[in-house]
Amino acid sequence: MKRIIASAACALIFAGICMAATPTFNKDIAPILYQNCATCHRPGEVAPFPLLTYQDAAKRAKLISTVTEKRYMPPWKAEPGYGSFANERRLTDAQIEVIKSWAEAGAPEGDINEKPVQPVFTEGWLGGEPDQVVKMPVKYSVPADGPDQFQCFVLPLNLDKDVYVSLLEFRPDNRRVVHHALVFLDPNGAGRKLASADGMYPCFGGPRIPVATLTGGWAPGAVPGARSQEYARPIPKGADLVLQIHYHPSGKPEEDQSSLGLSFSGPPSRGRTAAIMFNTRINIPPGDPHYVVKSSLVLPRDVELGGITPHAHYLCKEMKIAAYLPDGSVEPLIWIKDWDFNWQGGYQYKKPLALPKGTRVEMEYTYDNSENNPRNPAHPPVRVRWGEQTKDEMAVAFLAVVLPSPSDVQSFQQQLSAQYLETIFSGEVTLEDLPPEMTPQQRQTVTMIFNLFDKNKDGKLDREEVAALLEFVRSRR
Amino acid sequence: MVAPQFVLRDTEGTVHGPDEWSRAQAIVLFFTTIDCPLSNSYVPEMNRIRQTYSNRGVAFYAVQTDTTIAEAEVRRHARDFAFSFPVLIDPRQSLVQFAEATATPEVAVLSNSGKVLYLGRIDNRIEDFDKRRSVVTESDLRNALDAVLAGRPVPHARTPVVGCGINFVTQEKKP
Repeated sequence: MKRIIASAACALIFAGICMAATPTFNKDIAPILYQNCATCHRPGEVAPFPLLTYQDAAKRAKLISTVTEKRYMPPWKAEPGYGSFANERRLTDAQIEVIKSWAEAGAPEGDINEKPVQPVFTEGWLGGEPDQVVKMPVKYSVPADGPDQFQCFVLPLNLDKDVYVSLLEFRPDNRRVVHHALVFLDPNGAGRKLASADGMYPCFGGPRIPVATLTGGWAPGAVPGARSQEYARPIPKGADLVLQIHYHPSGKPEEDQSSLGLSFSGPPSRGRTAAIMFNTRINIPPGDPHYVVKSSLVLPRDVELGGITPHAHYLCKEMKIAAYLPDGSVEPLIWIKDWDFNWQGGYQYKKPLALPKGTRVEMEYTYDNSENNPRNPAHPPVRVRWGEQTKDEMAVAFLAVVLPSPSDVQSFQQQLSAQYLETIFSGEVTLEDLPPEMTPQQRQTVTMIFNLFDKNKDGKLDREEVAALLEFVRSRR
Repeated sequence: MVAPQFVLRDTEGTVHGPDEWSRAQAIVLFFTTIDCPLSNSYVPEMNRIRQTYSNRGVAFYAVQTDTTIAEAEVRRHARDFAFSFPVLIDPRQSLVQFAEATATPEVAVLSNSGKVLYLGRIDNRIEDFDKRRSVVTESDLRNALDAVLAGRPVPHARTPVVGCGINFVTQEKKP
């Protein structure tokens, strides 16, 4: 009926003003859903309901309109135009407008002949059948409700030789509760020591293993890349994988036993490693709605940047990272205006970015520790410092760096470690500023260095003493 | 205000009607649907609220709002999520329309004569689709029940709900 009125109105007003006819499912909505939503919104996948048929969509028209207008769906946190990412899931303003008018018009179906063919999706492993599948050692029980759960699972690979992984794919088991997952490489069995007999331990911010490296991640909608020997990841024999899963209670008791699929290849031609940016000097007063944390990193050689994974906890609201090239140009890396811990994940660039030696990468994160931040874990707000727990904060970004050859990785990391020391020892420092996740050995070494340079023995390093320390570090590069 | 004249079956086959309401101090209707994650996440809290208030004479019902879902699925869902109160099948959305519910998980508190005394969210845990409060600071449904049982007016009789919009059954139903 509404459509008839609309057409009548069109006939009355002259054609130029009467822009578009009422959108229909078959002509306007189905193409948007198939392109942007159905990868997850189909039977057996992570979304709570399918969006394939007219019936699926029509009865949820209001909901679809609301969540797309709020840009809650499809989930994509990076600002458009600030970094160009692969698999970007973002609707245009025009698409959102079409969905809205369709819902307001009562979700008409339209002409069946205009309906696009339903896309064919890959079932099971999206990247193809893996060479080895490692499953969580036990079924993990998620309670019906209460706070979200963050659990680490040690997945022993039991490798008798070094291998190269050309593709690592996480496959969630119970999609009602798995919210996101991160995969870490644990080279020396540190995770096994933290784990209980059933191979798991609670972990919130990270795997609590200082030498672990982030090797993969999954969030709803993530698409694994293509298998590539060129970029394959070495996994040394004896190493374990540590899988960190964020669980979201569903309203009833649930169990999950997710798995990882590994595809192997020969040794890579390129070197892959991570440059980590961080600032441990976080000290947010209770009530502060706008606390800024900055850090920077100078690239010690030419690199290609494949992707970026920013990380912070619940108080962080905005993140901005940009690269300042030696020629004065600026390469935007990522900007998240409304950081949501629940939708963290890695962002891959459409094309790897070439960043020359001397490029300065700068990050700026903003935190809201006020009562008005609903995500604030403390009520009333309390002082928040660096740490891995829910009530702590972090300011970290993992840069996925590609080097010309695997043999370049070690020297690159050595060059970076001097900068890490500079980051820790910037400004006035006391031993309390040391990151809590340091190993006892690292702490002992740093304490020794600290005492050596604390000339006036006042328990802190002032600017002069820090300068002397950094001079020493630089001279040993 | 006239009590709604309805007779509805729950997922276990028991028939419920307005005579049942007249014996209660107050009635809580929990509007829900089986595939709304936000609504599902509130079932344990609704069971706890029922535990607290049922022995004070409050009658609890869940109302399945999506009429397109097969009754067997609604029954399985009610058992899976262990609802501790009846889940009503409402094929004509009579209770949705009576209470003027718009989304799940929305709750209504009715007087035993059928007057809508409260309509809105259960509490303020869900600030928005992507913003969950770590600590609940407004327990709206509990506050409303406390007020009704004490004979006081409900402090905030209407509160906004974040959730899955209810699709209304139209007269000219599509095939």
